[in-house]
Amino acid sequence: MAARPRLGVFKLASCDGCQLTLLDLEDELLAIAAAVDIVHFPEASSDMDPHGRFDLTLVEGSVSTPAQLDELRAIRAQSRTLVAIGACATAGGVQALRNFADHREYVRAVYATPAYIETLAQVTPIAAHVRVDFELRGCPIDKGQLLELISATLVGRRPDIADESVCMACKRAGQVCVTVAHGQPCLGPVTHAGCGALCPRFSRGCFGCYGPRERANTEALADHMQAEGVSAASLVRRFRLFTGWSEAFRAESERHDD
Amino acid sequence: MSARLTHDGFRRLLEQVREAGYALVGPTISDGAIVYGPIAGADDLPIGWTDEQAPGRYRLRERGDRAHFGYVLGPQGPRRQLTPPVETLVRIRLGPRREQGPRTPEGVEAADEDGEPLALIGLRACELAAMAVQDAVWTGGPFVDPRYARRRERALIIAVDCLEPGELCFCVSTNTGPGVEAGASFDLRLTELGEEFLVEVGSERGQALIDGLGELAEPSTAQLFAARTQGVLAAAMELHGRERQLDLDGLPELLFANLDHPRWDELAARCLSCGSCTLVCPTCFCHRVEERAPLDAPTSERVRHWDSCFTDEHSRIHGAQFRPQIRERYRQWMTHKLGAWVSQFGTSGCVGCGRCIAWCPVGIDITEEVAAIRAAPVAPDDAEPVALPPATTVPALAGDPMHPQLARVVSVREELREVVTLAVEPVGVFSHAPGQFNMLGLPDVGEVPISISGQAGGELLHTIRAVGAASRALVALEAGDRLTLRGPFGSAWPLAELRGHNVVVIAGGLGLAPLRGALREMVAHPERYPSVRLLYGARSPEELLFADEILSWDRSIRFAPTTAPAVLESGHVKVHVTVDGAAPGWTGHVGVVTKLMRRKPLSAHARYLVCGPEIMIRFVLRELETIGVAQDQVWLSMERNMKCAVGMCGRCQYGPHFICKDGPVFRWDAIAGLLGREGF
Amino acid sequence: MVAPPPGKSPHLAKLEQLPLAEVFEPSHLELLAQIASQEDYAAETTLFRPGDEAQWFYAVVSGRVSLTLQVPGRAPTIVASLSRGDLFGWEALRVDSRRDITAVASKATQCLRCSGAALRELCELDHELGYRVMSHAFDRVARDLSDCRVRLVDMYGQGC
Repeated sequence: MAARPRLGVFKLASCDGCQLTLLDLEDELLAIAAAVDIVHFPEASSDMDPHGRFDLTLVEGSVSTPAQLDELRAIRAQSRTLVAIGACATAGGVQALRNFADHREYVRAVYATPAYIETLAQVTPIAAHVRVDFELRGCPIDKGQLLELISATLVGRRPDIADESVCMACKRAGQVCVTVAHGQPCLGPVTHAGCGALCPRFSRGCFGCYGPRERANTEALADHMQAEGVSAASLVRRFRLFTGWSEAFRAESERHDD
Repeated sequence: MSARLTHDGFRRLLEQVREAGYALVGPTISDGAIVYGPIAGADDLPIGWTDEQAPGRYRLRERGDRAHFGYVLGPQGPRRQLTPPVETLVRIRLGPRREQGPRTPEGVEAADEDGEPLALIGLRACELAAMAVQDAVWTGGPFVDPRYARRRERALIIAVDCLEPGELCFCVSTNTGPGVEAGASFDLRLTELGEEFLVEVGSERGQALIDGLGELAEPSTAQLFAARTQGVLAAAMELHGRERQLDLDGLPELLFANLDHPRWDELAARCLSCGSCTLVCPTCFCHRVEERAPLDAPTSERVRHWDSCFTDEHSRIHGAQFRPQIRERYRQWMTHKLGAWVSQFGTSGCVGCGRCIAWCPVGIDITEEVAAIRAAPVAPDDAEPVALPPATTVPALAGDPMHPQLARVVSVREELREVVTLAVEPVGVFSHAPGQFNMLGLPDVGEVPISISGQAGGELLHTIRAVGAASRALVALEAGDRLTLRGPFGSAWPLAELRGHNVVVIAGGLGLAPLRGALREMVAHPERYPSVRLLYGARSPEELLFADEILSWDRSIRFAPTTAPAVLESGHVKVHVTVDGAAPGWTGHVGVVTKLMRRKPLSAHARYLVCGPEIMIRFVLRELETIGVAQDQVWLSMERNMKCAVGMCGRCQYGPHFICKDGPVFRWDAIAGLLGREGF
Repeated sequence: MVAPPPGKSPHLAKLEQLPLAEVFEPSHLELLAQIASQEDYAAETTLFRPGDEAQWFYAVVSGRVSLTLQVPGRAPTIVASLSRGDLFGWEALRVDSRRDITAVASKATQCLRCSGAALRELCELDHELGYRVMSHAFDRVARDLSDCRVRLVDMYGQGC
């Protein structure tokens, strides 16, 4: 039997939550371990080998420091298929909110000795720096989608992860629309599905943690919300959250930010 | 037969339905809306509640009475119960994991799980109309979806008249309400009149239920009938008086004549393309089929999911996205629902329920959009016919069209770089007409449509280029491997109609594959096809498909690959080949196939078959136009996102056509108005 | 207007049978025949190469001519082939121009050719003739351009 494909899991600026999703695949973990050789996975094991070639690399986190940028480039060079996992890696994450302000002020305010802090002016998703073969969205990612990603990669096909609105998931689940029936603002129509409509299922509007879907008509949604009484300041906060640095959400929040 | 029921009688009626073995599905309050869901009995109904609806807005309100059906419509109709949003079609037993590439199938099992039959309680007239539309989609064509058919057949339907139409209803425009017509498909029809129900029996099953109520089913009275008639009439009058109407007259023609209306752009600025309208619509049926093959599972499942023409994936095939813009997606939805539907299913796709208006997160009103186009059309509404019949009619398969057979690869012939011909041995007798296609698949990667490039005895030939994951996996198969096969599907080249005519076949690249069967037939029968010319273009001499075979047809050609065709003697077949570029030594034509067409005297009276990439087809047609060939002398083969292959998943729609069912072979005039148009 | 010369050119009959004859008056064809000469090329004869002075303007009577592009380090590629009735060597219609492609007879080929200078002079002297030459040339070049655009999208590489 040929060697199993080598899997590497890496993290940059992030909370480790997406890596944990891999460990959360409790029922499937043995099958995954049988199908791939987990070579590097710091969240799971201290027995690590970040060197050599990886057939599938999952990268969590955004690029926040010069060291992370170097590390990311090295990871790319070692990887056949590189997948960005989670809101940080795909959109910058919550830490990218500092991009909307002067990062030096934050450094001065937070750290006792700012001189020791080496940080980039902007927090960026990894696709801003290296070629990314696939982006798995979410904060954190969905374990079903992660499993599909791994299964698909092993047979050489593109993961069957639809780039469609959260509304599609709500409607399939028979979830009553929280906007229409309860007047709740919801980013579902412009947000990439994958969470299984988690927030609407608990009667909360979607807050866009999977980031914008393709053709996200944020302008039409924001205009409608505004007509329904949502303030400009509130719109800025809604679009500026976990995936606020994604292009579509950033443009929309900036449109309402005076 | 009819009866009068009190609330107690009605309660007992539902108990009886349950005792008869039905699972009750009826209106019930959930998440702040009245939805169809499992109910235990009459107590679960939204007694005393109603709903208020406006564009993008729905609210529950207490009525202050004990009305059981005093609301209008919930977010989704019975479509949810009859075609579940996620449904397993078949299970495929998997062979062992291989060193690389997908696993091969070892067995196929039907996944139907016959649960309890459903009793659908509270359906309105518009919902019965929607169900009739869905019947046409799933069971009315040449193919029948056995899952839908079974559920529908077993379902007991208790319908309810609408006497208090909702704010967004426009069923009088679509002639689908508000009263449930006597001829509609129901077992029992209720009219709620104050604290009583007037019950009309619509079937033997319904009669048995009423009989079973004994004393509780009182004789109906003339007053009750009069009250019903009056109530329905009053509701209809109220609806007639409303501003919100949908004028269906000439609507398909109007919409297809106004594909470039500025309103589509204006709409696209408001539309979120979220797909909500399509998934609350009681007649929409688009779905996708996913392969679910978890890592270590012994079986993979083919699962269908509700899809929407507003999603990216709906119109995407490898390397192409046919409706990238929101304007194109909304236009697709509306021209289909209100236009193409009529020629596809003999009825409009709109039943006037107003759900798409209520549940649109930004409140887009389809009636307003139609009115805007009608008020200021940019083109007259009689511009072009909307549909023509398919080029050929081919008998459909019996049985479940989604259930594949396991076919065996007999041999693999490498044709070109990354192009192979799989000779596949199907189970049982298989007959097809050249031009048709099969769905070939593997459990890990799913299915793709592949044209049949010939049949030799019991072996079916499929010529495949490795472009996407599924085709790559198929190309990698070896003799002895098994794969899933469904087919044959689609229309064929009109060989009977071509008899006695001079035929010119124009092909580009792999477009020769779907034509080979037809060419073989014409080559073998000079007495039927007195003159056959093949004009074939490819990138280079090395990429000429079936080179040895096609050149052997032309007795005037002596072919040595990459060098010189030399004239010998002529038969009834002439083959002309051109390439985009060649190494020195090639003495054949170099240039596009349209240039070759200009070099050869082509008759305005011949019959033409064209197949190749769509861009080539369009240039070829332009050339044929200049030499005066009429549109009814030309047939061509089209490609779109074919997934179910039987006109049910909705994804390969091309204006009024399903490419899978009405095509892939079309006569030019059937699609002339759409060819080259963005968004189709 | 230039008067047709006394005595007919031996090439007139050949010229008259080419498709291009349709766009010219008989008197024009006679003038064109006067400046034309018939050339027979054995297979693999090179008619011109990149850098050559663009002296002649050709019409194919029979056989086939390949236009080949040579890129250093890569195999030469035939990018167009010309058969009966096709015109080539357009560069000769421009003053002081040079060839940028190689023309090779890929099999035994007969052409009519005329000197670009003589053709230009004839066009100058007879603007009616000049107009027809140029509009015919434009028509052919436009078609070639259109074909080239189709090829740019690598159409056979798509789909199917």
